Amino acid sequence: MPPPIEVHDLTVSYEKRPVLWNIDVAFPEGQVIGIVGPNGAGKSTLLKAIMGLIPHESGWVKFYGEPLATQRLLVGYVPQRESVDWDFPVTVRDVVLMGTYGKLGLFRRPGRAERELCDRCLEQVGMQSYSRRQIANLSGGQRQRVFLARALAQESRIYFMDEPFSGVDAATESAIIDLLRQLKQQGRTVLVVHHDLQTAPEYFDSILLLNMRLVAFGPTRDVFTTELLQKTYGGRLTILSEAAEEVADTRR
Amino acid sequence: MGDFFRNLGDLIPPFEWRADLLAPWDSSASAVSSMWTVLLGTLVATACALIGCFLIVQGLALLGDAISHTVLLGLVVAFLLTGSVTGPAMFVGAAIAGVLTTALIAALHKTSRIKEDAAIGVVFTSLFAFGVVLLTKLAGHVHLDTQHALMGLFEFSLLDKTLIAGHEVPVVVLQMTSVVVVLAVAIRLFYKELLSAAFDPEWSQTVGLRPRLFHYVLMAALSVTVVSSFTAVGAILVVAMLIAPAATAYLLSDRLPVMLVLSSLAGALSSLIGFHVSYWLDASTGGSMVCVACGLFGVAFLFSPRQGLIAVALRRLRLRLRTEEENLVRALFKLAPESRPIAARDLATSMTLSETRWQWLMWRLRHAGWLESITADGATSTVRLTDTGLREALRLDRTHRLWETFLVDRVGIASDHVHPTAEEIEHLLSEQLVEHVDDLLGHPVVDPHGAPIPRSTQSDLRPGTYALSKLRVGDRGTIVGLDATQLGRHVDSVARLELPLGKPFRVTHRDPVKTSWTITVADGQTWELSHAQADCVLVSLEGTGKL
Repeated sequence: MPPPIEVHDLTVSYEKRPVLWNIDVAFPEGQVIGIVGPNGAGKSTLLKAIMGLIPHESGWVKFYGEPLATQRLLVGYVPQRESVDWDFPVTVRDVVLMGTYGKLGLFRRPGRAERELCDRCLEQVGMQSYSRRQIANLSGGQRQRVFLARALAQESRIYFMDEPFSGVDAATESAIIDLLRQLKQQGRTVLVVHHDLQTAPEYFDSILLLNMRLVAFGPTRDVFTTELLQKTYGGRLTILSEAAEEVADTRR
Repeated sequence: MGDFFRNLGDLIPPFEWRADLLAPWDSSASAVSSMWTVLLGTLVATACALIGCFLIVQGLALLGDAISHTVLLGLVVAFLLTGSVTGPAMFVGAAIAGVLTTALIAALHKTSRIKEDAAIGVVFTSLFAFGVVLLTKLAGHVHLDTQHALMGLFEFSLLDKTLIAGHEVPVVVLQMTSVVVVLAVAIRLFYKELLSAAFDPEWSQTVGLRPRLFHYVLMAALSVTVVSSFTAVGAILVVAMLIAPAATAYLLSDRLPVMLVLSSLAGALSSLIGFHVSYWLDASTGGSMVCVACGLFGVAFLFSPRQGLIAVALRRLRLRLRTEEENLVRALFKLAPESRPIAARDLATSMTLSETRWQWLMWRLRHAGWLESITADGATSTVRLTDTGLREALRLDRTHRLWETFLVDRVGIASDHVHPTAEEIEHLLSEQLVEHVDDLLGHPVVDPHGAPIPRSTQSDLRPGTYALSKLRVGDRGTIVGLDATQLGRHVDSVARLELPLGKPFRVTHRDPVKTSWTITVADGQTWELSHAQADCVLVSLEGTGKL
């Protein structure tokens, strides 16, 4: 069977500046995979490019051997919390219910089955008692859990999470860890953008080290070595970003 | 200044409710014309409000402003192509102009360093000016002029009528009705797509909900709404009707569907009241309606139950009063920890309050059941804390001292700096957070100044089942079981302790450095538990006290 996500020769520019160069990787099924690298390494960009949110200059991405257009419903996404306006007039439940929209299709409205699914998802992240609250009144960690519940309501086989652990309280952190474990047990594939090196080996089965290009990908114990980390975080890569600046200048 | 008010006074006729409220509706002819005016106003306001809600929640008010102007160009071009400024040609022209405006702004913003506001400014003024130039060249050929497009002529727009089932109905009313119906149906059919595109477009795209398409559909709908409202109220007033009722509803509601209904109601109300205002003042109908719509926004801004200025001021006042009450309770507690009666005069001097404020404060405390008067004899009156008052004082004292401990031990602030912060925060922290801090600090017994920290008023003081970590030296109890929610990875270490389940014990020692609890049973055998272990052990507390 083809892998859940296969990336071939992916090059991506952001505001005309190349940020990812020729990425080749195939992610195995049923693992929790961390994408780790320094600031500006292109971690979020990689996620977004794989999901087709940012156009790529070259290369292709396949999900179970098929292009994204036919596989959208297999993919669930947990964006960064800051990506939306939390003053928006919706309740927690309204947001989680959005997770069911993709499967409903045009004209169909969420019914009882969808509402029950949404309550179960909220329970899974420990937010059931907040379902009628307006989202503006939630703490950072609670907001993160609402986004997780929305992704759960998508019932996808592949999940992308963009920095879910950043700036959350201890309760949310353990809720996320539990959730990752459950998703893995159900055989789903989870890609997590992560910036904290200390916790990375504890959370992930495999790790992708990224700094504008793929430094290494493999099981955590093989990849999380001093040598490879130095290669990811070390200064020798500045040549790549300098080249990117020059490319951007000539394109402007 | 005096002249200003005199002249203004001359302009405003006296308000007579019979003449200004009833007269427009008394004869059947005037009632029909009044009805068409109010109905048209309501339809325009409703259409604008529905679209306006989607603009407001996405921060697109400025884009709405821009499109309200550029549709003029679409109108003129439609006339050049088809020779008509009504019906389908007008709608199609406007929709194209709206989409074009949005696309141009996005393109300018994305392909250069121009920020979005500047892009909006440049695109909309240039397209509008182009439209104005074309329009003046066409003057005389078309029943439309700049003045009309900007300001609108409410009454004139109603003159063009058509016969429906034997009744004369203004064409513009029919047109607006169809716009409102189409909008309402479309919002209902595509609610999922519109909501998710407005809330989180990027995520919506990953799900295949086509947020970009629906963004452009919304802009096309906006253009159609604007152009059909044009003739009645004009471009400038359309902008106001797009924003004001929706902004009013935004202040009053937590959910988009409620907001849609409220904004439509605010729009309808503006139309009805605005009509009467214009009748009373003999002023522009459209202008009066917009003034009322803005007035309603002002009312919501002041009186909205949660976000309004008044509500916020009330909340602050309530907090200030509570702070005052709690300060007095704690002052009393410090003077007489055992609720001994205290001369009210001693307290009053320590609080620096006026006599009335002081009496009011005493009344509030008695009313809350925190304080009782022993002798209510004016100058020699004495008071003391009730049991409820004492519990409240202990709670405040505990919060205060735990916070000081937290600041000194965990944040590293010098112990002589922490009192003012704690003085303020003791009124604000929730019970839950205080207990969390208590746990974090290892359930300390004394604060950095060496004063004892009172125990939680919710527990500890009376018999019941608690975590062992809540106990202090001298407490007596029996281990009744383990707390499954706390065990987690400590399960093995707790099992290895082989605790004396069911035997009465006493807490004989607490080590503040290691944060450990030592318990001793009757035959002298002892166990030492770490903080994590003590959290897992449930005990039935039988008595508190010194060794």
